[in-house]
Amino acid sequence: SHLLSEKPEDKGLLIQDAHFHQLLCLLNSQIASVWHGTLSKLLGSLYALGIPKASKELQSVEQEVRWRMRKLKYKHLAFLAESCATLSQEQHSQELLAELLTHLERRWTEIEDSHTLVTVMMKVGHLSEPLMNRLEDKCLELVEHFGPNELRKVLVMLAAQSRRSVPLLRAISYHLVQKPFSLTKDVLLDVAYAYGKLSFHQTQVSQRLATDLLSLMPSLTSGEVAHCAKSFALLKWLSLPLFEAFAQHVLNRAQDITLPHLCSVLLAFARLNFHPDQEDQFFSLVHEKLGSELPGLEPALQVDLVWALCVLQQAREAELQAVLHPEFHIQFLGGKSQKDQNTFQKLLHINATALLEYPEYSGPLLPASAVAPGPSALDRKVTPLQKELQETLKGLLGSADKGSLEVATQYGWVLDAEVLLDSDGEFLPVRDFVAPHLAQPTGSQSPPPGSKRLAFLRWEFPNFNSRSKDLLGRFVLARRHIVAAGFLIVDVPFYEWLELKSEWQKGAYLKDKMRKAVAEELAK
Amino acid sequence: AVAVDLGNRKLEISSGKLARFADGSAVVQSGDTAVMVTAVSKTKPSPSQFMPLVVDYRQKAAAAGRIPTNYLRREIGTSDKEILTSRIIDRSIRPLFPAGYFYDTQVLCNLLAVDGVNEPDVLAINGASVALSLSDIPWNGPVGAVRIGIIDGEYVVNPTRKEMSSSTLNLVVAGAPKSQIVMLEASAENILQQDFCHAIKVGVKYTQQIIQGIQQLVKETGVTKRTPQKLFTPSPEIVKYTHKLAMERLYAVFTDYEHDKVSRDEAVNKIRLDTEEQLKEKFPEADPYEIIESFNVVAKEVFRSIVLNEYKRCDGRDLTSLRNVSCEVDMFKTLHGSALFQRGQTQVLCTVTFDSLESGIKSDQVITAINGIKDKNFMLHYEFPPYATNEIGKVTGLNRRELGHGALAEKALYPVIPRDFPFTIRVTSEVLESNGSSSMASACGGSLALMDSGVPISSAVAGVAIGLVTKTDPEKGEIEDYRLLTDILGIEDYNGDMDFKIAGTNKGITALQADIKLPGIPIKIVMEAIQQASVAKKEILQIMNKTISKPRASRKENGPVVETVQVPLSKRAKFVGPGGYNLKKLQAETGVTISQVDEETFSVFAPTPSAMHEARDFITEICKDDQEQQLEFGAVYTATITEIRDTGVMVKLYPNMTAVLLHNTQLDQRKIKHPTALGLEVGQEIQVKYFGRDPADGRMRLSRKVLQSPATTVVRTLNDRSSIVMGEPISQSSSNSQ
Repeated sequence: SHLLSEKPEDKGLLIQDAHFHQLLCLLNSQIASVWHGTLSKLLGSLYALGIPKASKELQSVEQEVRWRMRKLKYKHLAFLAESCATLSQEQHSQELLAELLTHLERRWTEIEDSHTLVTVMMKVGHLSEPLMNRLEDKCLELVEHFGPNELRKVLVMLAAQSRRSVPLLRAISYHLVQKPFSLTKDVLLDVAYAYGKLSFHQTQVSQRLATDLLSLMPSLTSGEVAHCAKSFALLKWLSLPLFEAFAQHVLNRAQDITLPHLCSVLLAFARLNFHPDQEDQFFSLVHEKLGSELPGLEPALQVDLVWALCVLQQAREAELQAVLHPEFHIQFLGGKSQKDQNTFQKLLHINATALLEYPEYSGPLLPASAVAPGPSALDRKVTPLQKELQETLKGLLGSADKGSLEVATQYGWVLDAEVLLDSDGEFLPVRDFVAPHLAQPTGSQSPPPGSKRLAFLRWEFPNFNSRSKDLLGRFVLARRHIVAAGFLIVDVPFYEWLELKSEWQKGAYLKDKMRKAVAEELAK
Repeated sequence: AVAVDLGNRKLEISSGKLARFADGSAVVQSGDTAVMVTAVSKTKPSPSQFMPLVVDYRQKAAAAGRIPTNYLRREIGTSDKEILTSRIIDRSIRPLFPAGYFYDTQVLCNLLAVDGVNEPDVLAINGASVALSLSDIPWNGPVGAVRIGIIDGEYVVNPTRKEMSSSTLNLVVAGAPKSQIVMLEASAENILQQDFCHAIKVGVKYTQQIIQGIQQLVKETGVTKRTPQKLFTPSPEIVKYTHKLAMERLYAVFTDYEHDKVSRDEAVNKIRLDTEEQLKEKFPEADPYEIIESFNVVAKEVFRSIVLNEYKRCDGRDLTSLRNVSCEVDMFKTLHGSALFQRGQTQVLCTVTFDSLESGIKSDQVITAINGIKDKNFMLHYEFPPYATNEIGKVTGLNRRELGHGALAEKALYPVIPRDFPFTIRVTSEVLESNGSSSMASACGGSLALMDSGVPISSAVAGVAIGLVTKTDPEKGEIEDYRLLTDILGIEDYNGDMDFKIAGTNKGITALQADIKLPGIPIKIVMEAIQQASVAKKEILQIMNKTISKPRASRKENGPVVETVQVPLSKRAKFVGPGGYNLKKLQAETGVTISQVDEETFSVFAPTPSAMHEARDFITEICKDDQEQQLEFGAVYTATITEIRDTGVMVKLYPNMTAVLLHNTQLDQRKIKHPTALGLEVGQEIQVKYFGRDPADGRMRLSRKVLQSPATTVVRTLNDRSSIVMGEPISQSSSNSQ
């Protein structure tokens, strides 16, 4: 085994060696006297060497393992399972693996030390759901004895397997925060990655990660900064000092930062709607790096980047034109995959930015057929807040023509409701009047002077940055587009709606918000 | 000293030279108008249980270079203008005193000089702000104040008196730091809502410049605020315990929508008595004030949380609903106009009385020089008797609050009064029941009464009050949420943060007053309040229109009448009587007043048609002798000598006529020095010829001489305008007379 690990390419030669064969025969004759640990390693080595299954020596070793399964220690079983899983794909080894897993599942209570537990979870856990559930339970028992590295490994494992085990994550979070560990850079980065990947929002952990990483900022590489920014973006955790440090890092290494890393940082900033203090310098660098390289990037990434710049109000006309050009966007029209549809949605948003925020933009734009909302625009699961809001609005409006619910606009956004108020605050029949925000408007009259168009926008818990009342970048963009389209916005955040206990209160709440939206406009 | 540029006008603020013993003193000057303001506050608490702030704004004749014209030659009493200005200053500074600061505080505003161009009242607000800011009196200012006018569509800051005379808006804005509003007061010529809103924004912008100037002066001076011996706020411990005792019971009362003002007050008072009793047992050493105030704090908190969180008011209304409104006009026949306006439990009886133009208010010349106020032939007087809130109190005299409320309602109605109306108009508004917004009810009732009286007002006027309940972020100290309440009850005013009164027509705004208890509110709340009030105002106008939608085509038959009388010069002395005796007698007997219009025309004002009939009979009687005879020019009459004088003889052509002088030159062909030369005697009859009347003085021209001459010529007979004739009455009143 030792020889193999040093020179893996020589294993073919090793198998041919006469001395090796002699050694195997000797082992076979004395197999019963080999120790448990040695036996485990032996099998692993044989799998690694690719010994053919027909070999009687291999069969002999496998049989011996089967005979001793009840007597082998748990960690030996784990080692064997790992070897079966990673070193051999033959049917015979897979059959042995199945037996090993059964034993591992049944004997999980024998685990006594953190190291074994972590190793098993990392190496074997993903092979068996029942086993993993057991291991998580055991982990909850032992977690208080974990050191930083064990915690880190468990987290990375959970992230790699996309297992969102909330009780375990909570326990790990507790110990991360409570114990006075001195966390190294690698641990911090891995933990940030894991929490981001799993979307597990834990205020104190995020706080600690941000604080500790901030002090390590000078020693981070650009790659590490990029990954870190992405992790925090996934966590929706906007720590202003940390993100300012990210921006400063990028500016400090302006010459040698690579485009992929810069892109990661930019996308992270857009997700959280973060505007660096040195906005001009940062975005000058972005445009400079991006300028000639944008066309060479993968198309979906191009859309993502331009979209990010739109969110942060930094897109340039040339960049808009690049992705709105027919030859570019044609590939996303009619796309069926979720990824294509997401990208197309972003194209709609970019198109809206060009229409609404760039008065001098002369084209190209998406074709009319593209901006007409497809049936999927409204095909989303209805949330309790949404249902209640619609019912309250129906009661408020009185008749169906006084407002529209679930309004899909040509900008890629859906309004929960739309109403038109005259100068006295009375509802007008909203579809009798011109509506530039609709791809296929129905009315032809101009709205009377002094009238105001209101959009109701519902904001649910996932729409906000973590532990804050600030919207994520995507929804800030939505709001900005809708305002630019001439609407006054009535925001209905979940945390306000939950406070309302009766239908009366909900109706009064909406009326009050409408009056406040109008007053806000008058006060400008 | 600091100079602040406001548009093209300069405001100069200085301190440290005058009245230096005062805690704070300042002089604010614009042009040649200067105001000195002092602020003094005691260092020992006042026995009262509220902020004992007194603001006095005094106008001095000397400031305008005049001497008072009264007997004592001194300023006596206070004028309406002084009282109203004092109230504006008070409302601008009171909200910024810290809560619980119960120390006697006096702010005195002295006019040092008035140039007749720049108005001193806004300077006084700024002066008070400077004096308090520079003093060590605890006060969270500064505030800045400006006046905004709209002249020919232009928004002008601190317009001159002459500019104001053609301005369609008179808006005073007091602002606090961070573009917040502390006080608003406005009258307007029915201007549009959006123009009004824009004027407020312009005003707020300029107030910030004044505030910065004051802040700079404070920094240069280096002010350290004193620490009050005690701030009168209840202890949190007692409040917490009170909350436990009373919260649920109070909640039950405030959510029982069947309560009216009386039953609700009784229910709350019962809880209060119970709670205070228990608090005294629990906290025997506590100050009685703390016990009382703890309950008030909890009651207010419960009341406000229902509005904030449940969008419900204690009478069950939603935030924008009006109370029930009912209108009734033509209450009593003898009145010239009358109306009863009821909104919820606020009831106002309004009357209209007409009088002659001469009876309008005439200001003292000196006051005119200082105020710039001229004659006034429309007035509204507001009265709030104690029974309106089931209390006992003083009835005589006029208090400042009544003056302020009446002035606001008067401003609301003034723009719709016709300028050329032939009478002085007095509207009285008596509050019979009060539960919030009685001054705005006065505007509504006054409008109805004016229409009932036949005054052709250009539009109906309604008013409404908007209240405010805010929730403050404890950390930032900013308003984080708020609710505006339409048509507030008294209890909503008491427990709320603002009383925002706005009046106007369907078209626009005529008067506005914002009484704000907070140290400032953002512009957007004001905009929303105006918007909410406009909607409510239109709703009220619709209700009023159902009762009377336009002025009556004619005045009441019991109303006053104006006619003119033509009196020839020759009869004027007889008409007036010696020393005006006849006119005075007429006025005393019938109430009719007569004033001279020109040489031969007199205006007769009668309060009622019957009085006019009496007056007409009296006048006819006085002048009867001249009515019965028509003398012919050139005719010869037999005259009786009644008196012999040196210059001639007095003769009567008929027994009931006044004696007329026949001069010596006309007695005979010969030159006569005395009538006795001809042997003429009293009682003797002679022949005389009539030659009409002297065009210069109206005296009869008679001659005996022409009859003595052998060569007499015949003179052509002409008719002469020689009789007293009653003139045609004014067309407006003739139909009333029928």
